[in-house]
Amino acid sequence: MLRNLALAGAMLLSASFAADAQETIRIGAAMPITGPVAHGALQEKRGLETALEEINAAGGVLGKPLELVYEDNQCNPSVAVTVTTKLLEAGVPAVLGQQCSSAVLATMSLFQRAEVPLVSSIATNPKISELSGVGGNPWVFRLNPSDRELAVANVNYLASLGTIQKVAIVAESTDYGRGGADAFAEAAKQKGLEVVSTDFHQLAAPDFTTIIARLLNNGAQAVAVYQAHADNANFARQAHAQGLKAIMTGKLSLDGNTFAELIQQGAYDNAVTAFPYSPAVDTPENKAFTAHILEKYGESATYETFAGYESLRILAEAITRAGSAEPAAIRDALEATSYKSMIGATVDFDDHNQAHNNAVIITVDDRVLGVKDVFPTK
Amino acid sequence: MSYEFLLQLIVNGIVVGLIYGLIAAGLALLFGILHIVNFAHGEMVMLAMYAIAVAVPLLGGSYLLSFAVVMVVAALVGWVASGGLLAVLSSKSGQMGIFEKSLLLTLGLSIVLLNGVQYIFTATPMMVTTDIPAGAFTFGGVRLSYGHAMAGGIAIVVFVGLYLFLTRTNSGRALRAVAQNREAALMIGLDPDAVARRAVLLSVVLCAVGGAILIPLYVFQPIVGQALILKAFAIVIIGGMGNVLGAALVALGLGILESVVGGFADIVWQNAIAFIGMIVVLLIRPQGLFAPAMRKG
Repeated sequence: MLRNLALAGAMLLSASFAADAQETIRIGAAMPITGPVAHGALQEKRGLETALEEINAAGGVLGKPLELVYEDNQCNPSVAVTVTTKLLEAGVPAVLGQQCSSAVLATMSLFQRAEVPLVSSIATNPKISELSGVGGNPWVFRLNPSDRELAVANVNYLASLGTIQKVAIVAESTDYGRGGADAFAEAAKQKGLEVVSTDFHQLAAPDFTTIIARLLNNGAQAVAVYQAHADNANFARQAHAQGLKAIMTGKLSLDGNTFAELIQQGAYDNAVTAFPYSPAVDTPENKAFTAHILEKYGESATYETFAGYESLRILAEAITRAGSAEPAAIRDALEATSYKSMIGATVDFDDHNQAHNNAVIITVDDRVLGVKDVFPTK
Repeated sequence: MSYEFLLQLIVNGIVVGLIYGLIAAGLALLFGILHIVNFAHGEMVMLAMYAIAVAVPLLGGSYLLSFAVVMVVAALVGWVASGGLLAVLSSKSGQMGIFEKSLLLTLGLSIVLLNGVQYIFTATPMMVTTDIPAGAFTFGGVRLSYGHAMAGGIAIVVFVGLYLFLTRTNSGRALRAVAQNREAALMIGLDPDAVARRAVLLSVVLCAVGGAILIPLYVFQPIVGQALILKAFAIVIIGGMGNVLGAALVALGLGILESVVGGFADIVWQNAIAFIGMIVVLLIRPQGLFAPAMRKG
């Protein structure tokens, strides 16, 4: 009797899964839900969920609701390979995210082999677009500007100040950190700025005193950082306590309460960063989005929230244009993307499947965070 | 490279070493007395940091008061946890020995604590602004932040206290006796269970002190304990499993070495030192630098 009941239960359960599979379009979403950069996944998920609710409230895509299948890649290349394989074996027609450059670079070939598109919206290593599109992997698309474009804008701004000649680079020892550091060093060289030191530390490093001692000693006037949020906050707090006066630059994500407090305390005085997004970008669409996120989650939108939101919107639009949820049709439709981003530019992909959205110059003046400029990356 | 730069690196290294030492000492103590490896040790440090983050706003923003309250709570938690831990380890169910049970138990606890804290507080980087001033002072060309000075000072006080406790009090001698030879300690009338409970309590309090002194220095996430614990393991293995004062000395040496090597060479070497040291010690003196000689065969 019990056995029969269990069997019936199992059949019902599998029937309901099968029904779900028929009724929804399941999209993979790989991100670091745990690990040292889990903060980014929390924010990205908010953006994805917001877009998902809006899309499904408007009737879904091709008459079916969308469903997101989350996997935790921990931003670790080997874990990313495992969870991506799981998603691809589950038969999702497209995957969003991966978030970290190491995770994207490690899984790019899996997408090519499975012939399923990946839409990456946060990873910034310049290599990703070099390896994508024409002559490379046609299945990988990137929405955000790479660190090369951002570094050039960043260095141009620094050089325009006229007061900075010596810069130091501090980056995490990952594909993100190393890609960013190389891009910044190259841009600095072009503008005649001297790079006085380059340090690569482990992700989630507990202590920065040695690097700070070096920076206090080598006359760096600016420090270009390519670090995870928490590492950068930690570094800034320790550097400020030790009295390091060099201004912070590079890739700075300064949204959220912890950064607001550090800015107030003076840890980011005169900081400047070229960044893919700011909640302060003054367009009606961005204002409405950030107000909605603030109301819904009690916290300001970040780069990851924005990236999650627009990546799902762009993918949903591609599926609609494709008229089919088949991976190859979605890939072809993605190539023809022309999406009006909330920060002003029209997102379309070049030969290397790289989009060229606007980016922003963010500065901290008199301990107030502000958007100095919104510039095209095309 | 100037003389001041070297001195700065050494001073930084001493402070970092003292912090490592506090965390490693609790780990060594538990291994010495109970012969268990506590994989949740880093998460206990992390828990103390979040406890302070909760306590500071509740106690009118006073860091020192929160520090004191969290220590008392840690001692209570340590006492209760020690009872539960010993009951689980000594239960006769299953085929596993104490060591295997402790591995599963503490590894499981680590996962539950890490993800539990992330579930409650999210992974958003957290910072507690304390009444310790944010700046630094200079002596002899060396800069030391007030936060680092306080952390180093408290660690020294704790180590002196720990040394006096272990060598000058009956309770402390009982701990060392059980660590050296459990059966002999039983024969001279010591109660190994009571001693073990004291060791667990002390270890939890050491974790809490370690977490609390990091508060003015760090911006932290639930993962913070993982970064600290790996190094603490290396320190305990180098110093000799179970040797508390050995662990403290190795931690101090490692802190200085890391800082100086990181200052003069590539920073990536900083992280490698502890593990290169561990491999060398395991090859040459597997019982650890400060463990008594081992009888072979």
